[in-house]
Amino acid sequence: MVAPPPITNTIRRLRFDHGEMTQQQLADRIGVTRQTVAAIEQNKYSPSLEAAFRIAEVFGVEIGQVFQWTKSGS
Amino acid sequence: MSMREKVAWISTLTALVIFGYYFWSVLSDFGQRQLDGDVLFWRFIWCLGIAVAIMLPASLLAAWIGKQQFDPPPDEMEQAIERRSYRAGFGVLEVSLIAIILLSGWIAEMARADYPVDAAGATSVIMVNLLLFAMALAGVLREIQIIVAYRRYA
Repeated sequence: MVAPPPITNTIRRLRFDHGEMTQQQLADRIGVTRQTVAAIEQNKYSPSLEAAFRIAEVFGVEIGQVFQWTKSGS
Repeated sequence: MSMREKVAWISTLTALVIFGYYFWSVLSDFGQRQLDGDVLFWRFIWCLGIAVAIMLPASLLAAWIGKQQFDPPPDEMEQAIERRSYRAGFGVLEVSLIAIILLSGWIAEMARADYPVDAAGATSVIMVNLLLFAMALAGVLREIQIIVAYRRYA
């Protein structure tokens, strides 16, 4: 089993804060499938830098407010 | 379930049933020392036609039921899954081809013993079917890897 990337994200909360935006709506906004958004949100897939910026842009926040690096000392 | 995963399921199940039957029949003919290149060629063409006739409408039906695009452009995660699975499938194909080449001497010897009337013909029929098997195996393993990847990300 592949270890999850040492990154957490706040996409679920950000979606909730933006009028309960659905995964499909977010997927449509950033040009990926709903399955990809679900995988990113569950921290099973690390998105490209471009997709990460697009997600931050949709929520109108800095990328650091969406994704956080959790591994220390590396 | 994404359209690409549905297509992978349809391809895998169809290939296992249709080409499973074809290769089982080749093995059966081989066991009875009745390899006939002409018969096997047309049997293969029929199996290929049936597989396409199943896969295409099944994929269209799956897209229609799921209200999805039939062949949507892959996003970055889907491209990553495809890259990995195609690389693995290609690796299986490479190893299989090398194994077939290494086995070719033994196959020719076996054909001379079992089909003395037309040893060269029997050798070519066996070789062609081993190549077809290697291609089918690589294809099925590639599709299975796509399914596993999608399930892992689900």
